[in-house]
Amino acid sequence: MAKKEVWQGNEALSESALRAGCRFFAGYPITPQTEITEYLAKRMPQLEGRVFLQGESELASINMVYGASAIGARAMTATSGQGLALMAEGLSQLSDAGVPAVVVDVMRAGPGNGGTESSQGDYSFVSGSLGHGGFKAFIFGPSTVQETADMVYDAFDIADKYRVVVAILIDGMLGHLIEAVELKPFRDMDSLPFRQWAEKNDPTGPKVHWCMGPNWEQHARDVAAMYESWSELAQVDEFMMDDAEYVVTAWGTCARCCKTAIRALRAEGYKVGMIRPKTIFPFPKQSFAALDEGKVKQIINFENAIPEQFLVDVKAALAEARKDIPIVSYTHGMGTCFTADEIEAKLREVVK
Amino acid sequence: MEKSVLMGGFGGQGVQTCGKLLIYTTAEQDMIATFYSQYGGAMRGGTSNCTVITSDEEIGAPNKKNVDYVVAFNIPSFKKFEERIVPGGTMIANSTVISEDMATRDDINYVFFPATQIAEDVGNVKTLNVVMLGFFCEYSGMVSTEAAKAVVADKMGKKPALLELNKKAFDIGVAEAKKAKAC
Repeated sequence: MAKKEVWQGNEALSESALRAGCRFFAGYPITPQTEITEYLAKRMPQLEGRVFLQGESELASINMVYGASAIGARAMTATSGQGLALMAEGLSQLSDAGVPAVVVDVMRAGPGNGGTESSQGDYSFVSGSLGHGGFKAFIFGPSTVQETADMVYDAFDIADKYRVVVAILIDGMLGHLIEAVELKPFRDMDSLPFRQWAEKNDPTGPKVHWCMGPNWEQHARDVAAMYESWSELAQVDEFMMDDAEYVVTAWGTCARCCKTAIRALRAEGYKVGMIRPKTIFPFPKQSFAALDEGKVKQIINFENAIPEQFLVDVKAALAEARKDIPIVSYTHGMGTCFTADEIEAKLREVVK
Repeated sequence: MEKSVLMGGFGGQGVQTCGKLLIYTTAEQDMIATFYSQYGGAMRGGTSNCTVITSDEEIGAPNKKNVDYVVAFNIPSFKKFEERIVPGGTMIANSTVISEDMATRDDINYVFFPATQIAEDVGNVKTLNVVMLGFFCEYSGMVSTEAAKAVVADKMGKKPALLELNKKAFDIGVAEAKKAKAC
């Protein structure tokens, strides 16, 4: 194994994206995403055939990504809260046209201008519908710097294969976290999947704009069927679940804080485990369907969003599998995040 | 087994760099580690702190509330983070600016040494963070002092004149820690 190197989350994500073949980036700086823009501004001109552009706004940036991807380049943008709101129209347009892109949201606190501190408050915004109209993104929710780098690396292939937007949902804590990681090697740019549909490649082939014709409704049904087919691509971390009587549900950085608390309780013999979705959409419903109602006494949800957003998906997965297990939920938000100590204290109340 | 340190000071005192040099050192030693930072919008003069954790297994929470060590560069960090040291843990404080009679707990250890004064004597107050790093590595044993010194030489090698000052600052920090451990 190669020696691991120390990387900040935002920078590891950026470098990994370039290694995955990202040829075009347009974005606008915003805390806590800024290091991505900063890193790529410096790094991309060092590599042959890569283009970095700082758009005059997020609105311009997403449309530049649209254009670059439509002519065949692997393209990415990154932003935070308000920036993503400005990109909503472009994201919707991309998903309607079937133009792939990778979009990173480094979540900050609260609605409106909010604060620059970490939160998980964009969960519903990103997972609900990609802008207006109801189409969806494939969404990764990593919780370590290594996962962040690995997921963005895979994101470009998924985006190309399904002609969709792939979103990487991290938060300020993970963006600024530094850990030792092993980055994957540079992809050979000539071996990337051929985009037969792209404007530059085959003038006689199918074009980017699939829709708005007489078959538009059928197109939407096909897209919906594609989303259904993704269920087998769902990724999950089932942590200490084998004999768990108390099941924590959490994602992202909040979930890694839960791990510390769960280990502390396990050391005292309490049978606590955790289901941590690594993909937000597709959501790993099978982990919830597999829960044994006779064994699991309580589900305990933790998230850094008020009111809860992730919990809605947890409840839906349980309802779909007809599992009747009591749920209790704890939240922080608006820039305050759970610490392991707080989670441990809450878990102790539940298991006592 | 996790070990953790929280470093705090004013923006501009080099707290972030000090923590980064520490985590670079962990990577050299193939240790598992995290660096988590919080800093205000204003760069210079704002508050700045970072938490470095090392472990022999996957690290969960990077924003650990209770830590084994606090390294206080200034008075606000000393006051704010004193309560976050685990019983039996250690407060390492910059006595050039923090008075020993500010200590309020009897279940933790206090180590005071004149870090800012040492940095000034070395010839550049900006070496404060490297003085602190040398002291912390030697005193805590959390990482190898030798490995940390090599990282300082590697990461701060761009300006040869400053590098010599930083190496000297590191060595004096280490010597101070040896003295502190002896008494």
